[in-house]
Amino acid sequence: MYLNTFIISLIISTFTTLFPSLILGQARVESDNFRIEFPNLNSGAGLPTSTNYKLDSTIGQTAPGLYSSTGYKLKAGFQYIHSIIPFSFSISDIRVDFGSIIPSTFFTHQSTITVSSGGAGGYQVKASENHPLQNFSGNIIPDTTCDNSLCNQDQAQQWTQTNKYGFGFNMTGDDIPSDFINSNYFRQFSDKSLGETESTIMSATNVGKSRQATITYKINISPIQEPGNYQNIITFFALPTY
Amino acid sequence: MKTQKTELKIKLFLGFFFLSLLASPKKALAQEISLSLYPPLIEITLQPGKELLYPFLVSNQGIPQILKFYLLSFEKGDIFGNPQGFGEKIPDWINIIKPENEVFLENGQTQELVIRFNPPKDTQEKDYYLTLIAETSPLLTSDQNQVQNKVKIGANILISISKSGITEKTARIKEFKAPHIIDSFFPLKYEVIIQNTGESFFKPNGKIVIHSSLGKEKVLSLASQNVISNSERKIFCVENENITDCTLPGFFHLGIYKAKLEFSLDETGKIYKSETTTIAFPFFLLFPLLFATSLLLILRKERVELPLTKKKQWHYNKNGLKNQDGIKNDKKQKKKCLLCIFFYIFLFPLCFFQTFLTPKGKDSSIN
Repeated sequence: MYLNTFIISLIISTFTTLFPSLILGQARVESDNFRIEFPNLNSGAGLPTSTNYKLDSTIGQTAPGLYSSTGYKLKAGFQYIHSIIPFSFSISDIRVDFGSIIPSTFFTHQSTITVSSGGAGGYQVKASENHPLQNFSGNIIPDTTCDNSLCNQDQAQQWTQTNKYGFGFNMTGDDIPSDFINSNYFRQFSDKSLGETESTIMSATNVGKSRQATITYKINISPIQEPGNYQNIITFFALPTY
Repeated sequence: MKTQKTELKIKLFLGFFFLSLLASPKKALAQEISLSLYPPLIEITLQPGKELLYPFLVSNQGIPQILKFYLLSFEKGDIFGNPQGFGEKIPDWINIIKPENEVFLENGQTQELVIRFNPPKDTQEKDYYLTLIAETSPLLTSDQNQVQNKVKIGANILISISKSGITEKTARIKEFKAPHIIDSFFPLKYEVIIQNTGESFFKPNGKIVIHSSLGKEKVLSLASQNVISNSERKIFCVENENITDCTLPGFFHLGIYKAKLEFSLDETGKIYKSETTTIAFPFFLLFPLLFATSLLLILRKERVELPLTKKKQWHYNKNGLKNQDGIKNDKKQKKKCLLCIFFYIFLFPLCFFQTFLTPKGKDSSIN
């Protein structure tokens, strides 16, 4: 009897594990003027799937979307790629909490960035900060200039000395700038409050699916840093090529 | 008895363990921001006085987000097709009519965006370049040392206003080049940069045809990538719907390769042409062979001639006479050494510095 119970529970649990819950989503959008079929998900774009809708999922069979009518001509997507694949961007963390920061001690946090530009033939991701890390009294943690005081928003340098204070980031992984030689090379973020233009942190000229990079935020404060909660906003601007 | 009890316990444990999987929660959503925008690019040719509505779709695959939507303009791009010089000034005949305000998107939800293009009849006939932006709205809490991430994702819109539907398009071949000399085992890569000298964006439709001195021919198809006005763009090649470098396939190249670039602009009749020539030779294979051969010859000569020469020389020096044979042999050895030196010092580095000898192709545009 117990053996039967065991077998039954094994079968049920295996069935449940192998076949996940149904996710109802919208796979086809229609209106009076148009209908668009979503492509399949092998690009990693993260579009919703549904067991209730049939997807036009085979790359190469979807027309590029050439419309012609009186008064206008329109093309969607790219002529040399038959499927129109969405452009997608994701970052693994909506926010980074540094907690209580100990002076002269590096604190780091990593987030994963994923970009898919299957139908775009190239892309660029730029990053900037609205201002340096700042508390409500207006005190700031300055952007890092690294060990040799030479790094900026466009050029990374080594930052390993604990007597060098500031806030910066490192990139590792796919399609990153070449000045990030290894995980010890850091840049500061472009500061929009100073009118600095956003700097490129990922870019590619070819079609890319699920291109991944890791951004490492790093912070180190001096012993005389004013107390308070320091915050800012990092903006990631992801754009396909035209 | 003990064995049976143990077995029973194991079975019960495993059974309850697997049963517990039934009650396990769904995979928890990470605190991830994830957005998709579709399509990534649209190209419109529109008559003044006509109206067009076009839908985009934005999808949220991360945590629930408040999204706002807006348009930015840009006037030029870099050589890789990235928009540059964003501005907030948009023609007033372009509007996002849906949604009217910010929207809240749950995980897995999709929002339709409808843009209306309605140029008045007196709209100037020219190009307008825009980027549609979907942007998240971060919320900072006040009690943490914190960085908040905000995401903006875009899709590009290229518009040509034209009464006739036909726009004037002109181009110039800024560069068509390849190395002048390469080693046979090096890839033969062609670089194409096309400049838009007109007022309307276009796509180059064409190819690179490569003829080798051995009679082989290879065709590389240019990728139809947009070149917008006031910009130039590096054009890649396309193979099986994949963007690739314009590289002659093959592991080994030998001989003279003449490449001809030919393209037209969209459906216009103008044909642009350019040519370049490359010599491929197995330098890296040849030099080790030459080095080994000459070393062998030198050693052979030295082993046979040197004792005799020295012996003769000593004898002749002692007696005050000259040895013409000895002098001739020495001269031959010197010539061979000089020949080896020539190869190693001059021709060998040519392979390393071949990038400095890359000439531009000869341009000829035929209308």
